[in-house]
Amino acid sequence: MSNHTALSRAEVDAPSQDAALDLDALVESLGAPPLAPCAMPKQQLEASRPSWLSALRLFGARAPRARL
Amino acid sequence: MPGARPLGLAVLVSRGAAFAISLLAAAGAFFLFLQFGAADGLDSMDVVRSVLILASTFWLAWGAGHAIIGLFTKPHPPANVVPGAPISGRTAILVPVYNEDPVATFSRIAAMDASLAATPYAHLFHFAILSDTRDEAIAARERLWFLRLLRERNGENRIFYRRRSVNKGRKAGNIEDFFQRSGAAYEFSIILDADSLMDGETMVEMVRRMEAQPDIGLLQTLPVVTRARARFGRAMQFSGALHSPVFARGLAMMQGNTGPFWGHNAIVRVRAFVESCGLPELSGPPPFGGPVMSHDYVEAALLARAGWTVRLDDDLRGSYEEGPENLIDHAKRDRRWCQGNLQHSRIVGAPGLLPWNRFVFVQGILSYVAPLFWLGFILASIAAPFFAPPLDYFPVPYWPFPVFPSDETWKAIGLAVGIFGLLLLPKLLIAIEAITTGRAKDFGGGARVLVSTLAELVFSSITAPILMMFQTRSVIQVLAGSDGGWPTNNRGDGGLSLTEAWTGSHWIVTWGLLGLGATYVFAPGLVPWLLPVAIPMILSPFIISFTSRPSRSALFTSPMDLEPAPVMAAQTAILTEWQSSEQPQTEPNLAVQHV
Repeated sequence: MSNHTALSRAEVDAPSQDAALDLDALVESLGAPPLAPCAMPKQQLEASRPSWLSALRLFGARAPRARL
Repeated sequence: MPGARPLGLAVLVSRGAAFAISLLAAAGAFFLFLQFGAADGLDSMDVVRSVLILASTFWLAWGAGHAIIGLFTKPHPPANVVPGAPISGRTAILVPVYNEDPVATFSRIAAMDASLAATPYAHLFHFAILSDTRDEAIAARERLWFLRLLRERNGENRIFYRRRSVNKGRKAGNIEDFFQRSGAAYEFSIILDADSLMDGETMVEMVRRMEAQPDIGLLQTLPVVTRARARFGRAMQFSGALHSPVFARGLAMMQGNTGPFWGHNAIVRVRAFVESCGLPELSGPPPFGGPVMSHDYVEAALLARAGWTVRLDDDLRGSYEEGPENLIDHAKRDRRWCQGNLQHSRIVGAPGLLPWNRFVFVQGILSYVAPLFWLGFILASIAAPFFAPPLDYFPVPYWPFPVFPSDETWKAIGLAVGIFGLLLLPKLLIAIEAITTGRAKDFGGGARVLVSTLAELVFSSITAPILMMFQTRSVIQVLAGSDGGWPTNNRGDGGLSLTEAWTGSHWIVTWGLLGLGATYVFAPGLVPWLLPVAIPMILSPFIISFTSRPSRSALFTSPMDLEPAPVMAAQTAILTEWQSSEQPQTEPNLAVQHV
C-alpha cells in the first residue's frame, strides 16, 4: 500500500549541509505567520469537587438565586 | 459574549419526534421479544436479551429518526444573509499536517488559493500550514514543496508554513499554538484537514454568514467524500453523497444553537474560539486522561457553554474531504475515534455544559458501545439453553392432557423484520426521495441509484459483522487502558493483499469459527440465525482484500465522479503536473525570489 508519493533520495540528500541550513532559514523566514499574540485560557473540563448531588445539575437544577 | 437563547419550536418538535420514534420502536421490540422468550417459561436470560434488544433498537431507531426528519425538511440558506454582500473580515485558513504527503496536501492549497483568486476577496484570506510532522524526510519535502507552492501561487506573506518542534496537544494543540502566536491578526479561521478541499466561493460565503450573525462562534459545513477508487471507499463515498445530506438535515433540525464540530471544513470566530476553547489535559494517563483526543465535540460544547451559536449549515456546497479506502484503514481511524468518544465520559459532567451537548457526548459513547449490545445478545442467545427451565407438559395437577407451549416463532420473525426495517428503510426511502426529487440525476439516474442502493445494503450487511468486531476490540482495548496513540492517516490507494488482510483480521476468523462451533454444539437451532454474522467473520480476510481493490464498475457512482467541482479539477491538474515535473529546486535562491 503506498502511503506517500515516492520519495526521491536525491530530493532530500541533494542539498549540501550549508544549502540545507540556508533552506531551513529561508523557509522559517518566509513561512512565519504574522506575530499577533492572543491569549487562550484553559477551560475547566473536570468537575473540581464531584458529588452525587452535582448530578442534579445535569438535569438543569441550579442553586436558588438571592432575591432582590 | 452572547447570552443563552431559547430553543425554537422546530427544534423541540424534531427532538420530541426522534425520541418518540425511538422509544416506541424500542418498547415494541422489548415486549415482542419478552413474549417470544416467555413462551417456554420466562427465565433470566430472556430478560437480559430483552433489555439488550431494547437498547439496540433504541439506538437503531434514533438513527432512523434523523433520516425521517431529514426527509421531511429541506435545507435553506439563513434568512439574515444578503446574497453577494461584501465581506471585510480577515480569515486564516489552517491546514494542520502530520506526516502527510506534501505534494498532495499542498496541491489542494494551490487549488483553493486559485479558487479564492477568482473571487474579489482573495486578499482577505491567508493560508497557514501547521506542521506537526515527526518524520524528518517528510519534513524536508514539506520545506521544498512549500517553496514551490509559494513560487507558483506568488504566495509570499499570504501562505505560511511553520513546524512545531514538540507536538504538544496533537491537532488541537497545533491549532491552539497558531492562535496564541497569530490569532489576533484574524477575525475568522477556517479549519481544514490535510485532505480537505473547499471552493473559494464557499469560503467567502462562510465569512459572509459569520459577519451577518455576530453571535455565531462556529459554522460547520457538510463535507462530501471524494476521490475514492477502491470498492470499499466508493461504497462509503456513494453512501455519504446520497444519505449524509438527509441524515445531516435531520441533525441540523434537532441541534438548535448547539450544533456539531467535526474538526475540519468549518469556520470559527477567532475571538469566540480563543476565549472558550483552550483545552486542558485531563488528569491521569491516556486513554481516559491526557490530551483531549476528539477535541472537536468538546470545542463545540465549550462554545455553546459560553453562549455562542454553533451551527451546521447543510445547504452549503463546495466542501470536500477524502475517506479511508479499505476496512483496515477505516478500523484504524475508528480506533482513534473510539478512544476519543469514550474519553468524553470524563467530560460529560463538565460544569455549565448545555444538556444537548451532554447528550451528544452520551450519543458518541453509545455509538461505540451499541455494537457490544448486539454481541451480548448473540452470546446470551448461545448461552440461553443452559438457563431455560425444563419443559413442563403437565402444568395442571391431575389434568390428563399435555399442554404444549404456544409457537411464538412469528414474533421472533416479526422482530427480525422490524429491526432490519429500521436498518434498511431509511436508505430505501432516501433512494426513493432522490429519484422523485430529481437528485438521482447527479448520480447517473434513478436506475443506477436504486441498484447502487441495493448493492450498498448488501455491502454494509456483509461488512457490518467485521466492523462490529473491530469496534468491540477497540472498546475493550480502551477500557483495558490501552492508548492507541496518534497514528498517521493512510491516504494511498489502499489496496491490500490477502496476506495483509489476513494479518489484520485472522483473530476475527478465529472468533467466527469458535462462535459458530459453540452455537452448533450448544444451541443448534440458532445456527441459521447466526450464519449472516458468522460467515462474513470467517471470510473477513477475503472480504477485506476484495473490497480494497480498485473498482472498475459504474456501481456507486456519485456526483463528483460525473462532474467534478472546478476546485477538484484544478487540484487534479496541479497534482498531475507536480508529480510529473522535476522535483522542486533545492537551491534556495532559485526557489523563491526573496528580498
